[in-house]
Amino acid sequence: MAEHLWRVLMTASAKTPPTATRWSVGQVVRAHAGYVGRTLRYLGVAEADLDDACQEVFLVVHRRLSEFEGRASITTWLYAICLRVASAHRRRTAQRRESTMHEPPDRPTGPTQEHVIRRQDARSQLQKLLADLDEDQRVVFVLFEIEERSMTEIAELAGCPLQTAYYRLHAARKQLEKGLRRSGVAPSDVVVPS
Amino acid sequence: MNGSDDPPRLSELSDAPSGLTDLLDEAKSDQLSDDRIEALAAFFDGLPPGGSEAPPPEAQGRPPTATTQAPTAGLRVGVKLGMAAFAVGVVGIGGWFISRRVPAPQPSDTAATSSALAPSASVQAASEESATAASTAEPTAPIPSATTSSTPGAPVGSKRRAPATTPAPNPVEEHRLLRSARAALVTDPARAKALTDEHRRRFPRGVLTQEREVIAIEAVRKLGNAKAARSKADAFTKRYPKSPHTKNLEHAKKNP
Repeated sequence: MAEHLWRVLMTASAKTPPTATRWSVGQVVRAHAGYVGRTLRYLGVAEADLDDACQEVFLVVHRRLSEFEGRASITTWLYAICLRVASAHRRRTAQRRESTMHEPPDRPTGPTQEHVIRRQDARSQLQKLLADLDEDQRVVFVLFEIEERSMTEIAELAGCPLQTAYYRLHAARKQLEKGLRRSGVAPSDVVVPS
Repeated sequence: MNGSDDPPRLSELSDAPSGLTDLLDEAKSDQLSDDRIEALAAFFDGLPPGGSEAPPPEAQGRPPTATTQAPTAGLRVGVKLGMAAFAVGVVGIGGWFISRRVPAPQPSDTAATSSALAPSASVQAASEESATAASTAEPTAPIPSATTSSTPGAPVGSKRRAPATTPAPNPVEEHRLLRSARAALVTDPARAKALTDEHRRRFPRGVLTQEREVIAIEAVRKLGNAKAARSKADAFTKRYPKSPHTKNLEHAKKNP
């Protein structure tokens, strides 16, 4: 998949869009870092590694922005970079012998942060469910259900036929429903703050 | 963004598991916080324009332009350096003969020599941060004044040292080096320490000085020298009281 993504990256830089090449990396960061972070998170990058992974994505942008000439949209280009970076991070995390934490333990949390905690809890539940999917299914599911990309674009990013992308989405949904039942999360348990 | 033939998304299905759709709705609104985005953008705003390729290992640590120059440009630089070295040698030998003939230097010569060898105030100020951060490690080499090379009558030695100790900033390379150091912390703290030492040597006034020191402190701690780690951490928190790393270091000191 990595080789395919590299081809997508290169293909995306084959025609000149008038706007993207005039952007500075700082502007790209301000415009796109929000969903880049979200995508990396749900593609399996640990919270403790999220800042580093974001920085890696935009370092690639920094290196290649002058070459980006926009056969694909800049978001597609960024997604392709995200998939590569997330994949590399997951591999590195699997090799680690210790787990990292975003925050040191025992950090006191004030009662006013309940909202934040519940939100983090919902996020962590989804991340656990997604962790049970294999990488191919996870990519299709995250890009379709969270990032709301079209299946054609997802198939191109994932380097698979459209029908295969449909199959992976279907399989991912089944697997997640099963995981949801297994974890005993009733709908009423998932109280997402407004 | 939905293609015409795409299946409905879970959020559009009435019979989708509500627990899952709630989690997905939450995920869609999930974004990096504004301050994290701004910090990231500020980092990239400070970077020099990126090249198309990563510099080869032998060019790492040099100014980015060095990697983009044509081979003939490199040759020209080499010839110039050779000529400069030759000139320095000739002047040095001449100076040695003169000093043998005139053993007692004039007071004005002494003043010129000492002022030329001393770092200028601005360079001292700029290097203060990295020098203090590295206070518990090996001493930093004196940084020659930027004005010495243009001072008439300045000693030859200061001219010779100037280019070697004023590397151009290269945050991308700094980041690479420290990323390797951070990765090595898990499996090989000694290598992590060596990489931070290399960073200190190559980027004495780098933009990631604080990150380097934090990794070095952690490496020293993992190597079993808790006392040295604590003392380095103390030096760090004293030097950078408002650093975002300070809070974590304080926590680590309380929970070794």
